[in-house]
This record gives sequence, C-alpha cells and structure tokens, in this order.
Amino acid sequence: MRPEVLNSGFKPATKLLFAVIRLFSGRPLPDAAKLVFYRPDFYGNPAKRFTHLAMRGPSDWSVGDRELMAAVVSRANENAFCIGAHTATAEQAYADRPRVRAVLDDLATAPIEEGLRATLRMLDKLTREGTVTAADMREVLAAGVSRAQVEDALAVGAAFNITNRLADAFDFRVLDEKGFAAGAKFLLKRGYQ
Amino acid sequence: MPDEKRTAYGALVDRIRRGPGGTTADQRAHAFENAGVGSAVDPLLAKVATSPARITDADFDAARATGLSEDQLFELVIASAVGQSTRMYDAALAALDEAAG
Repeated sequence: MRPEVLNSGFKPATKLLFAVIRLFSGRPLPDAAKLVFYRPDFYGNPAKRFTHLAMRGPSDWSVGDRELMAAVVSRANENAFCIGAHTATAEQAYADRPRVRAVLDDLATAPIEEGLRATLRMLDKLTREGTVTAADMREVLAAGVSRAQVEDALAVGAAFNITNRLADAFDFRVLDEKGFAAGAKFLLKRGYQ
Repeated sequence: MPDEKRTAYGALVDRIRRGPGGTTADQRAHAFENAGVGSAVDPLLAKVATSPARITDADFDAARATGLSEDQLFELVIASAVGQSTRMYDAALAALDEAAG
C-alpha cells in the first residue's frame, strides 16, 4: 500500500495479529482489511459499522444482491481489487456463478429480477455520472422496488464509492482467484465488522 | 425512527470532518468538499474525488513535498473520498424524495 505508513505504521499488537492470521490462513491479510486496522478510531471503526449495516443489516435485498451491487459499483469505478472481491462474494452468496457473470457481462440481458436490474442500472449511472435524476428513480420504483429497498441500495453505493476510492488511492494489492475466494468466504461468515 | 444506516453514515462523516486528527478540521473540510487544501496536494485530492484510478506514486510524492506527513495525507485522502461519496449519496436521496413525492 501507499503511503508507507500503511505498511509499517501499525502497532506491535496489530502486526502480531497480522502474523497470526497469515500463519493460520496461509495468506496475508488483504489490504482492505489491513486499512481498517490503521488508526481505527479515525476511519476503520465508523467505516466498518456503516459498511456492515449496509451489507449485512436488515434489508429486503439478499446478501447476494448487495454483494452484486458492490461488484457493479466497483466495476463502474474500474477498481480491480473490489471488482474481484465482491464478484467472488456474490458468486458464493448466491451459489450461482453464471448469474453474477451474466450481470457483469450484460446487465440488459442477464436473467435476473426486473427490480434488481433497474436498481443495478441506477447504481451504475450514479457511480459513473455522480448523480441521478428523479426520472431515474421513478424507473426503479416502477419496476416494483420499494423506497426502503432503494435507500438500502444507495447505502451499498455509498460504502463502495468510498472503498473503491481508497483502494485506488492506497493502491490495494489485487489478489489471485484463490485469494478472492478465501476473502469471500470470510466476508460471508463474519461480515464487515 | 431514524434510519440506522443513515445514522451510521452520519457518524462516519462527523468523525472524519470534526474529530481529532493531525490535520485541522478546516483542512479536512476543504478536502471533503474538494475545495482546495493547498496547491501541491490538490491534484491528489481531486483525483481521489473524480478519477481515483489515475492516482500515481508521483501524486503522493508531490503532496509529501509540501511538508504534510503521511498521517496527514491519510486523513485528507479519506476526507476527499468520503466527501465525494456523500455528494453522490445526498443527490440520489434527493432524487428519490422527488420521485416518491
């Protein structure tokens, strides 16, 4: 990561924790996880609380739907680390890799529910253009999505429009397929807190 | 009853903008608003907000040359990222309010 303080600036107890995790998992902690251990009072603790609520808190969207939203937002931001992490997590959550690949290949034709498609389209536009209109929101609502579901989807968007930016700025190391699969398993078991 | 997710988001924003840190609250507010902190650090912070995939080591080198510490850059980069996300979140919620009537 950069700047260097994000590699060497951790407290001794935190470094020991990283070493133990590496020993038992056989893998270094992903940079996204390391970041929230750095000065956690400043960013990590409040960010984890919000992200966990958005991704695992009460919602009419499934965990798989929300992970897919995170993947779509990350793709719009062209962030390789988060695309890999949340594509893998959505695939495991749904236990349906073709569904996730179909959405990322072509949202217009993917075999998914119309409400989810409209919501993903709105999140993609918000992320690419920085804003959406009331007309965009009417299309989502007309597809049968409730106001609460739109609010929940926007919370996912907010979480990953922060995380994607930090992944690029701090230069998170992109994992291989096994690394992303291991991270996905962890996220499905423990969430973001 | 206040929405728990929006409350948690507000707590994150409040911590970043107004909590203790190695930068001043004014510096973090300017980074949050993408409104200019100083000439050599602004290109990095502007990229965080609008084109993060284009950030390079040289952007950090230039920002460090102003005398800002790495911890201070850590805070300002986070403030910029949270600020941009907040503008998008607020715009989308306003559009939803208008659409839902």
